[in-house]
Amino acid sequence: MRLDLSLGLILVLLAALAPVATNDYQLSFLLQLLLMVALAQSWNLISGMTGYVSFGHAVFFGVGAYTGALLLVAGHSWWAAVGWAALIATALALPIGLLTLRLHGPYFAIAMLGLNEVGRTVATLWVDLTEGGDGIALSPALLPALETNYYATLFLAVLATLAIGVVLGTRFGLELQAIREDEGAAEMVGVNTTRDKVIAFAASAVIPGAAGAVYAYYTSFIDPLSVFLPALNIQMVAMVLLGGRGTLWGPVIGVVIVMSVRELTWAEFPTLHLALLGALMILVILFLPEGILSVLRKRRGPGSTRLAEECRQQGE
Amino acid sequence: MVDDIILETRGLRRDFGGVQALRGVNLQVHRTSITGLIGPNGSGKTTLFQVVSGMDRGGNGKVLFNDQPILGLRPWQIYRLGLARTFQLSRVFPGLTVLQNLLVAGRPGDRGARKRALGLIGRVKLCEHVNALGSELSYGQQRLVEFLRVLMCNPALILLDEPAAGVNPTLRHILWELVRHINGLGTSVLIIEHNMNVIADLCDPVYVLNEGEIIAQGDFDTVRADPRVLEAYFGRTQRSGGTTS
Repeated sequence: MRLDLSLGLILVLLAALAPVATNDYQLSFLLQLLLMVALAQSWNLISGMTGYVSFGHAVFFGVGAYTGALLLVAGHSWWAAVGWAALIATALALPIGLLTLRLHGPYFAIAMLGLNEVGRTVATLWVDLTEGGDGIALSPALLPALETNYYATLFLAVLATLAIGVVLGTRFGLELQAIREDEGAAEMVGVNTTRDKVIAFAASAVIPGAAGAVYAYYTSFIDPLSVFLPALNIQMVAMVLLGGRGTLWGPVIGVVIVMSVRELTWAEFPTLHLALLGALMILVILFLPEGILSVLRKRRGPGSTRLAEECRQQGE
Repeated sequence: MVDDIILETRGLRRDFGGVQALRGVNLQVHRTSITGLIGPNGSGKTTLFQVVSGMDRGGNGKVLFNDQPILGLRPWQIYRLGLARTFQLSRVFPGLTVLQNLLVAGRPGDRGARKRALGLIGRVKLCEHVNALGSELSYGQQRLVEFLRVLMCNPALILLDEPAAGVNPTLRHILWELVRHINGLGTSVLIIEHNMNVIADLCDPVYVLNEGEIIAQGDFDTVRADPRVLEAYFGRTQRSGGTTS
């Protein structure tokens, strides 16, 4: 716990100092990396913790992006628009969660995948609001500076990671994990599974909503395909599984590895770098199904822990 | 004395299409008793547990727990009322530690949950496994942990579905001692068990279920001597076959 906190503080400090020590290209890369951390941790909250694999979390990112862009154009300040983007994505997630979380396993995953397509189709066809396939170009005069976007993204990444850290230490987190392990048995020991799942699902939409808006300001242009991006769904899943689902640092590690490999190889191997990432994924799933973090985590020493001693005292 | 009854089913039915798994079961569990439920395979024992515990919500009739109707409630609501159950096959949470397995079953906001959990684990001498994952335990240990888990809410009634099946003799001994112990503390128990020595030793009264109906009830010796019970278990005897033909 203390180690996690110290490590987190050091990382945040380094990230906060980054704008001083980097050029715009490097800062852009770090922004994208932090964006993926924010998204992966959000996905982790519902899918990593409860095992309900969402293949459509980009829908909240897309809704957030459009909300942020439209409100900015309408004259709202960028930070108010980010807040609204988070709120609207969450408000949308509540009824969706109530409906889709009745489905299990692949059915839920496919329902979410379909939902992302619905989002993209609506954004394409509702031309009056979204300008359809032409997309929305944001005037540079309205946009916050790169550094501002960077700090906003850093804030979201920290918030999402902190949320996982807090939830993991609570009874709520334990209940979510019990749902992942055996939902029927969880319900049989007093876990209100429906309530827990819907809360986790709605909470997992907050950050993607806000992140979508910040992304719109960062790129200054969005269209349906770039924000309701099917590949984004796959990336969230892949990065979390790579690092270790349902853990605090797994998603961070997954994002850093994938983004770094991509950054180091795409210029040299414009097409091959995707194959490289695919091969890495396959290797990890084959040999480390619990993610890379499972290697670093030290084995629990049976019998040697203070907990066992405390247990013996209580048992007497 | 009506108050003496903690669980009562009245005319409980459960149909699966054309199959009537429960055909109007009337059963009473008296407070602080250890009541046995026996019957041949497929007689509806586990279905009865499924319906009473809320896992199967397709039942008709009446189920009263502490005089309160519970048919139609969700399993977690029934659990929090004080009615807990274990499963026929172990359903310990494999990716959670032993301690976590117990903590998640405690009452929300219970500050003494951790102490209680450690006390229970210590009682069955699983301390060296307190931090082990559920999946790392032997099958017998898993069953024991599953049993401890439902004790976390201090239930008034526990339904045990063949708790000793697949458990080695040492752990089985610990298990039965624990059943006696919690019963001594006032917890009522309804237990499905195939080992007749255990039933004879622990249970009074005993209900016999056959093809979805209660065919006999009473203390073990009465039930054992009942011709309908013999027929259900061993088929129609030569002599009775002779008298009916």
